[in-house]
Parts: sequence; C-alpha cells; structure tokens
Amino acid sequence: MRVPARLYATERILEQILEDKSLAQLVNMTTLPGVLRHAIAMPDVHQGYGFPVGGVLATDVSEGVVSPGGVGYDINCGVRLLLSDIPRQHVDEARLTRLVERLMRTIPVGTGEGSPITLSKKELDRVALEGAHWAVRQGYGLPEDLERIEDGGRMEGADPEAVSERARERGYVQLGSLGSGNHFLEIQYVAEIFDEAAAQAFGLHRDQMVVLIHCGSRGYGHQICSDYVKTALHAASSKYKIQLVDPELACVPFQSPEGQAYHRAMRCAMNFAWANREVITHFTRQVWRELFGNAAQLRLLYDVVHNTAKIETFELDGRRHRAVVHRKGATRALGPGHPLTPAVYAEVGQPVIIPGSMGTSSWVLVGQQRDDTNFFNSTCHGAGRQLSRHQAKKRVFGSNLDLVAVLAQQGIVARSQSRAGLAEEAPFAYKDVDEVVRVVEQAGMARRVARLRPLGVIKG
Amino acid sequence: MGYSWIPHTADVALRLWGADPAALYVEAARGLVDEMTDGALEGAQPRQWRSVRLCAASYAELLVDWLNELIFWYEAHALYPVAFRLRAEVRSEGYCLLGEVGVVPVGEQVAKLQLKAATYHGLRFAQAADGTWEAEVVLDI
Repeated sequence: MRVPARLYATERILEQILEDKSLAQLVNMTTLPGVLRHAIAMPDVHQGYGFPVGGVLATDVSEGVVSPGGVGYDINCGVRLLLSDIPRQHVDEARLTRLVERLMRTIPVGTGEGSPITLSKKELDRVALEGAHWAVRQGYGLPEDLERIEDGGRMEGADPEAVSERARERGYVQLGSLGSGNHFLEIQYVAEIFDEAAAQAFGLHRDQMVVLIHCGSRGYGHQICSDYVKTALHAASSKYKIQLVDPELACVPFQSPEGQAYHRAMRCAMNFAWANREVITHFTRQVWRELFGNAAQLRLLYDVVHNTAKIETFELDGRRHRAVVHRKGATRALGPGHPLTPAVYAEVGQPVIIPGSMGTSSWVLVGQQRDDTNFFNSTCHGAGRQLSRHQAKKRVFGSNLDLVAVLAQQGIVARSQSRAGLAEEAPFAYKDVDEVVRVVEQAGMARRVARLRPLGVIKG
Repeated sequence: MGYSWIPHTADVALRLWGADPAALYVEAARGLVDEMTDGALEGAQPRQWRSVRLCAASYAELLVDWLNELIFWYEAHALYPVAFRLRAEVRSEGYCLLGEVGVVPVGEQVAKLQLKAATYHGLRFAQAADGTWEAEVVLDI
C-alpha cells in the first residue's frame, strides 16, 4: 500500500461490504503509482473489476497513472433529473400507466433495430467532439439544458482519432437508447424536503412530479474501455514495468502516449453519453407534451456523471496538485463558490442526484462548502448492490413473486423488456439507499435536500 | 464439458470446463448467448457461417477476446452464435482460435441482457490434473 484506504459505512453496510471482494479491491487501488493521499470507498461500494464500484482514486498528473478499468466500462454512465410543473395528484393510475407505456414505446432500451437515430461516421465523430451541444444543435434539446450539465455537457480535448473503428461500429446505432442492466427511466415525485432553501434554489417542491434518467455511453464507451484495458495491460508490464496485483487494474502513466490516447478517447465516450441522455430527454419531453399539453415543461435540474477520470486541482500539504480523479461509480459533489460549480448553482452548491432502485427512494443532495482531499469532492452514486443478479432472480422466481404486481400495490407502474431483467434489479438486491445517503451526509460529503419516491419505472 | 454461473455481486462470472481448450471457447459462447436470451435460442439452427481467426498472448486472453468478439457481433452485426466448428492452436502468432461459427440474426430475440464486455478480473484458464481444461471469466453487465 502506497497510501491508506478509507471506507465510509455504517456497521450494517460494512457487514454487506464484507460479503464480497470490494475491500480487497480498495486496498489494491492504493498500490498504483502516483496515488495521492488515500483511496476511498463510498458507502454504496461493491465488487467491480480492478477498482470496486464506488471507488475514488486521485493520481498525480505528472507522476501518476490512469487506469481504464478504474474508470469502468460504462464511461460517463450518469443520472439526470427533469422537473415538471405537474403535481402528482393530477395524475391518476390510468394516466400514469399510459405515460409509462408510451415512454416505453418511444424510448428504445435495446440495441440495433429500434434505435431512433442512425449516425454516419462523420456525424458520430461530431457527437464525440460536441457532446450535449451536438444534440441541442440538432434540435434534440434546449440551449438552457447545457448550463445544467456537469462540465457544460461537453468535454474539451476529445479526439475521435483515438477511438477504434470497432467502437464506432457499436456507436452508430445506439444513440438515444437506454440500455439494460441497472439503467432505467423513472417517473417520481418529491416526497419530502429536508433543506427548504436549497430545494427552493433548485425549484423542488413537495408532490412535484419529476423524471430521473440513468444511462451511459452504451457500446461506444464499453468498447473504448475494452480497447484501452487491453492496451494498458500489455504496456503496463512490458513497457512501464508496473506490477499489477489484478490484471484489471491495468494502468499506464497518465503522461505516456497510451495514457493520453485513452484520455482523449474516454472524453469522446463522455461526450457520447451526454448526447445520449440529451436525446432521451428530448423523447421524454415529447411524450410529456403529448400527455399533459404543449405548455407542460420538463426543466433539467442537473446531469451528474459517474465513471470518469477528470483532471482537477487540489491543495495537498500546502502545494497545489493537478490530479487525475478516477470516480468509478461515484459522483462529483461541489460546494457553493467552488470554481467548477455551475454558475446557476454558484450560491447554493451543485445538485447531487442519487438514484435508488425501483421500489425505493431516490435522493437530491447538495455539495458542501468544504473543498479538500477528504473525498476529492465526491459522493456515492447510488444504493450499491448487495445481492448478485442470479441471487436476486432466484429469490423472485423461486418464491413466485410477481414483481410488477408487488410494485403496483405500492402505486408503482413498472414495465420492462424482460421479466428476468426486472427481477435482477429488484429493490432487495440493493443496499438501503436511505442509509447510504445518511452516511454521505454524516461524513460531510453532501447535504440532503429532497427525497423522491417512484411512480413509474421503465427498465431495459 | 459444460458451463455454470458463479455468483458475483454486480455482474456475472462464467465457469467453463471441457476436454480441450476449443471446447471451453464453445461453452463460453453458449453461456453468453443463454445469459443474453434467457435460453430462448436453445437448439437454434444456424442460418449462415462466419469464419473466425483470433490470436492472443495466452489461452486466457484469447477467452476475453473471443467473448468480446461475440458481443461485438451482436451489437454491430445483430448476430447470435449458435453452432461451432472451432479449433484452438498454438501458432507463431500466439494462442489462436480458428474455424467457423454458425449464426442467426437477432430478429425478434433482442437480448434481455446486454453484456458490456468480458474482463481480465479473476481470469483463469488452466489444465487440471486429470488433463481436462477449466476456465473462469467475469463479464461486465
């Protein structure tokens, strides 16, 4: 270990974490060259590849490494929250069902056929360079959305030349699709407000209907990760003589040709993911207007990012350090007045959005004032799994549980492409998100603003 | 010869066994398709054959490359592999998988679960004391 490892948890969460290999993986993170201060595991941590999901690691820009597996396969998987002006009391069960089913028909979840947009090679490269700005330019979003997306919805320094033909082939047909696994679109309402001032600044109020969208860079980003894990694996041992305790930790010096190429390609995937969420937002808004009238609005609160390696500056031992901050299944959280906090939230702090799982709450938090290296300005990104997909499926099908009916009894309309997919994402497969969020608040990472409850779920 | 799934918190891990390396690559492909389609393609007859020629630094790395190749076929060409005429050979280019794969178009059977990639985490490919072969590979969902 080159630096200490830090884990944030309650005793109950710790027991769940000890069930898998996430702690060993946290320790593995501390072995990487150029690591700064400490490796961090968030309270939603669970076993991943190389890094656990819910891991944060900062490495020095000059002397440290970048690890494609430490960012993850779904580059810029992220969450955005759209705010409506409709109270939930105005939507009865029949209308809610209509809304969910129409969204399910409009927003493709799968691959290949069904994707609403097919891009030419040239246009895909524009998406990779421009991110959400491409979508807005094409009429798939609103200009005012852009100031409410992390980094303005576009990462500078993206270079499509660093992206393989194979990644492009996976990207052509997938823009504007949700994907399967833990990705979803949820209709929710604001159930409880914890911080009136921040809620007001965000435009949140009780019983307001909102839409949460969780998805990422699809096959385009997955392939970029696969390509560069392989590059890093071979270069790490032979060229840079880095000893790896797990091959999936494969890394290269950030300043090396391989490290720079990965970072340029990773930024393409980040831009793809932002364009993807912007296009899905556009389709969601279309359905919303069809159901609630042309005047009905869905305003973007914010779009936060998981699975990235960003260059950020921190003060460490009296010296300013530029760091490569790997957030694998972690969310950036910036306090009021931080130079990177978006201008619209400069006084209150950046919104942090933490999704739950179908039957459970999701949360809106706000970044805290403190800016130091305790957490490298990060929080958790969700509830974090506690049961494997197979265990979850076994429990649902073994006990003949009709998950759609169970959720319906709680007033939640759920629709999925697959029964198995829904079962694997059952609420009991995840940790208690409320407890995870309490840890985040008690540790001082972010403050709770509002609790959201689901009304309708669309799963891939 | 066969495959099974090993519990993994967020994803899936495949355990494979067989008489020779080629058998493990076939089992890996069968496991992948079963997981994606929930077994809906069992017994499906190939509509066409595609040739395969992959080489890697080890049998283990070849397993990752092979599964990633099939994930790519699904996403970019909308094809599932359902039949196999494969051989694994050690050649001057490395550890190679050669032969033909029978495929069917995705059509109605869109994957219930899309897999992002095969990974190097926990990767294992070895010959057991009795001469048979075993492997493990984790897939990211």
